[in-house]
Amino acid sequence: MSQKDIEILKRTLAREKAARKAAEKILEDKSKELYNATKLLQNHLAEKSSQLKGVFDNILDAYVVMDLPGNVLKFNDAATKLFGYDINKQSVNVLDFVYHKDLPLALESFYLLKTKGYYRDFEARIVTGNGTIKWVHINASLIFDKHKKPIAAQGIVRDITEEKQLKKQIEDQQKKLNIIVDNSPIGITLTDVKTQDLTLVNQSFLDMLGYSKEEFDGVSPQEITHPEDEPETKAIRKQLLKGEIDSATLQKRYVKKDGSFLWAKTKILSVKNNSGDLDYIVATIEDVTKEHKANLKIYKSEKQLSTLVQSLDTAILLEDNKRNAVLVNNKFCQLFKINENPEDLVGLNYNDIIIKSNRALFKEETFTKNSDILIKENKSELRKEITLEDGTIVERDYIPINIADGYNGHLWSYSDVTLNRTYRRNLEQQKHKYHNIIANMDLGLIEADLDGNITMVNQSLLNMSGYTEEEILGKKGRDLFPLKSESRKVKEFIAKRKVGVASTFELKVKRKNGDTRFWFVCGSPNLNLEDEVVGSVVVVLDITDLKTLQLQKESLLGKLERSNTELQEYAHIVSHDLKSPLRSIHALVSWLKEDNQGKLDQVSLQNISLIENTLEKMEQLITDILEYSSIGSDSKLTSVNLDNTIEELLKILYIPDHITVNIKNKLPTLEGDATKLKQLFQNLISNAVKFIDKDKGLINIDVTEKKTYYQFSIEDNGIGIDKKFHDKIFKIFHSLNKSKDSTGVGLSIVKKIVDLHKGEIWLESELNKGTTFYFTLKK
Amino acid sequence: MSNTNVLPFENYKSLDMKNKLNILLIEDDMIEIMKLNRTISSLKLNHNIVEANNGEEALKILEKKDNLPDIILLDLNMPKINGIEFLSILKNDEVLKYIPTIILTTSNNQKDLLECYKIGIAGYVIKPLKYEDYVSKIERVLNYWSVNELIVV
Repeated sequence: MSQKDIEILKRTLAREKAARKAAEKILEDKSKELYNATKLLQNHLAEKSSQLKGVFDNILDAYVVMDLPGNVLKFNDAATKLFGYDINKQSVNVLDFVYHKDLPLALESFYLLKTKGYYRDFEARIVTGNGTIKWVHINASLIFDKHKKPIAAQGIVRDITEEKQLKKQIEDQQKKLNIIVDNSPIGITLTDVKTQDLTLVNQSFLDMLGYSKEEFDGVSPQEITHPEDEPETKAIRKQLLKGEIDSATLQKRYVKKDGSFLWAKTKILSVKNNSGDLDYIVATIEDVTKEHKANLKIYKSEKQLSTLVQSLDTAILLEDNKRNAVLVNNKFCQLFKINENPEDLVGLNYNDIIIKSNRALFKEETFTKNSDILIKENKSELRKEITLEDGTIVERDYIPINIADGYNGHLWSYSDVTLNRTYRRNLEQQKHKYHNIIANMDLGLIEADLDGNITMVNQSLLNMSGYTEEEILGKKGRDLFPLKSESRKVKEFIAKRKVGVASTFELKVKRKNGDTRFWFVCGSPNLNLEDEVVGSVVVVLDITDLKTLQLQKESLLGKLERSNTELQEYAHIVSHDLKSPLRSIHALVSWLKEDNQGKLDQVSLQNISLIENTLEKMEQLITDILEYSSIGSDSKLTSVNLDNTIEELLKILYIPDHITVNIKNKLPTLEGDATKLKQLFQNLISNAVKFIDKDKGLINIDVTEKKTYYQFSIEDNGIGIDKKFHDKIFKIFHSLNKSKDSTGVGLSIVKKIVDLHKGEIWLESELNKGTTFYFTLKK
Repeated sequence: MSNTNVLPFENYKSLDMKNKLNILLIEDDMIEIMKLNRTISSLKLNHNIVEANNGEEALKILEKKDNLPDIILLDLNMPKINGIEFLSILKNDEVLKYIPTIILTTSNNQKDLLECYKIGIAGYVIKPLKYEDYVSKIERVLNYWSVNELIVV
């Protein structure tokens, strides 16, 4: 640095020093001036303060003056007490008192105070000098100097701790109450007497009616009351309003939002204020729809029961524990000849009822005594039989009624069993009678219970089966007697018995000694008086001998059938064997004739001719016998139109010109063997033709219809038949006229065919005048 | 033949058209055999008749397959094997079943008739009582078969 520079610096420094000195002087002067002003102000303030001091000291509430940052300048006595702090000893800031949680609030209020100039109703907690927390209420405002410049703040602080606690208690209680009200299952409403409005309804009530809180706002009390219950509700409300009553309970219906009804037990209570005026009406509503329905049901079933009891065919008397009638029915009055309505007897004592009865039953001392004993014993007695003076038999039941708290009365019931008893007696007699009959008839008798166990047998059965009574009783008949092969029949019988159906069947059984016997079994269900199946009664007849005979018969029939067929075959073979030699003879005779042509004289030729005729007759005879023996075997029944049959016959039969055949009535159509019926007519017509000896022959065929059969007749004007032969004529080989073409079998065949068709044949005849054959055929 | 050209037309025709039949007659009755033989000779037919007295004999004859009869006349009523049994044997044989078999019997039993037709026959002729009737029936049967075309097995 040069000297010059130093010089310059020195000068600058000196200048500066001088300038500062001058400034300091000015500052000193100004300070003096300010000091004087402050002093003045202080004086002024002191003056004002002392003026206010009296006011502050006289304020009951705590009074605080603080500077703008919040440093306390002044506490009055109340404040000192409230804050528990002596500011004379140590200075303090108001924010130091604020409870830490309320600090943000306090700062905010400070800000408001500063900007607005005042702040009211600030509530916050403070922590006092001795550590207790207090709720305070503060109203604060700024203090300005004469230039309207804020210089401090003042506040009045009130201790509201107690007030606050009280309020909280009240709020808590209110809350609790609300919880109770809202959660109560019972509906609660509050009606303001002045406005007649529902001021309060709880959730339960809303739920009951199906409204939401908002929806319910516009609903009037009338709207939710069932129209039928409106008058009663109104009347009670009126009484309450007038103060005639303080409370009332009623069952009424409410109309739900959806239009359905709700049965509710409603309790209404008037709430009065201190001066005794009516303020509110409180109603509690309990939904009793279910109970109501149940009650209705009970009522209904009670009614049904009572109707049932009234129409019962059993006399009923229900008495309470003091022997007063609770329930009496018609039949009771009828049975004991009491000329009163059963309802009128209700409530009457036993003794009074006795007097009214025209029957000796109740008057009888022993009986009354008996009933007293029964009641004392408190034990039921059933089916006690009592015979009344006129022979009526009564069955009495005594049933004490014990409900939870003990003996509560008793029930008498009487049924007239006269008919039953006499019926039963008759039945016993009948049973006895039939028992004797069965015992004397050698019929076996078995009685069994429902399981099939034998409960009773008679002597005949023991004889039949070979068992002793001890061996049979308690066993099952199905295990004891039938052969295994018969199990199906036994099962059927058991099934039928179960449904109460009797059945009869043949059963192969084994006796004790192993012999097989045939029993005819007639089993029927055993019924008691009530027609219930209680078992079975089986009557057994030993039909072994009969059965043996039947079996013999069956086998004989079989044999007969076989031998018949054999006979048939035999007839064919025999006829063949018999015919063969005839044919041979015929051939041989023919050859004799042929070989000796011209060598035989007239007599020899005539004899040869006779041989040939005899052979022919012999052959015819054999044919006829074969035919006769064939009738009855393999006949086929069809519908036969006899008119057609005759027509065909007349075409093939040889009717000489001098004979006329008349069919007088149309012949019927009937069931029969066509071939045989044809033969029947053929034989009779050819018979007639054969024996007509008149120049003008006449054959009349006729029919008359009877109820179940047709009667045919074939009349001729032939030689006639002597009466003494009429019976013999139908017998085989009884030809009356030993002519060339009569074998004596024809009429036998006729008879056999008629027999086969279950008809009859007879004849009327006069020698030399003619014969009429009659025969019938079933329709 | 010297008199051939003077033969009546019918005769000429018959000679020309009628076959000579080889006939097997199964019959146990001697007279019945005589009847057939006599009938054929009296009718001047030139059929060849082979006789068998029963079924067994007939079967023996039928064993020679190179010389089988054209037709068989069978009696039903025979000892040992009866006619129906024989017929069954015949019809069960692959070769013999083609030989027309005519029943010649006394039996008009419907049962027999039915049975025969069931097994299979070419005819059922009942032997009549009168010899003349017999001749007439046999003539017709043989005439019928002699104009028929017969298969050669």
